[in-house]
Amino acid sequence: MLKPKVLTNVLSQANTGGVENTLLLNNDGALLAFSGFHNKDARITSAIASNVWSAYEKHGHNSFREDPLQFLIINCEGGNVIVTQVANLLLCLYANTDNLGILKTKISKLKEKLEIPLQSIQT
Amino acid sequence: MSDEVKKFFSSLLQKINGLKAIIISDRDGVPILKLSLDGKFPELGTKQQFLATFTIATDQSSKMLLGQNKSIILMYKSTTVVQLNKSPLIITFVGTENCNTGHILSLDNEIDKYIGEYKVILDRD
Repeated sequence: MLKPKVLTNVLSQANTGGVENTLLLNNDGALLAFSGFHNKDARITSAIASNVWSAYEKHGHNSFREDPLQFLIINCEGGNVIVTQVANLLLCLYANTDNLGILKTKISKLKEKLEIPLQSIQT
Repeated sequence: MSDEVKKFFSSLLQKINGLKAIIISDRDGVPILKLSLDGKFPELGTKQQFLATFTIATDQSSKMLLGQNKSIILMYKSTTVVQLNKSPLIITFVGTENCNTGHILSLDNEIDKYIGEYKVILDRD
């Protein structure tokens, strides 16, 4: 059984040091869980992040040596968005900071924590 | 491209840890300059179809309310790809999983100096 409140609390732990939103979405871009400050931005971010992820992920699968995509970082003038896969869902951090190293560490740790619980709801 | 530009990008191949290839292409992914460390190009990250994916990705990413997209970093299991938005050019760096992406991103301003004139020519056309 997935507890939405607990899941949101776990996601909110990443919302420090410039991270504005933490999102959990499916491959179609539909938002499953969200923690952050701007609800409107979250829906736009999730739709775009999933689209860009799918576009690049297929190249990894199509290559001769299977090379799965592990992290996607979208670097913009006003901040960064980092995406990774957790079970069959996507985890996404939306930040107004340029510290890519700390963003990658944060998303890796969240992924580690969520991987096993989310695998149990994998369809 | 001029010898000076080729020389600059070739020197980057030697300087940046884990970097295997650099490709400068237009928005459709058609290569203008292709350089690699050992004359061979990795399969992932160097094909025209892959390069052109950046055009759509950068256009969409610029709508995330974070301003204009500057670059996209892709970390595959054994390959790292950094694509820089130098509209109308795309500069793609392909390296190993341990490639120094911070070094590549820090060269942003220096790269602008070398490709500035080509951007003007392509914009005119």
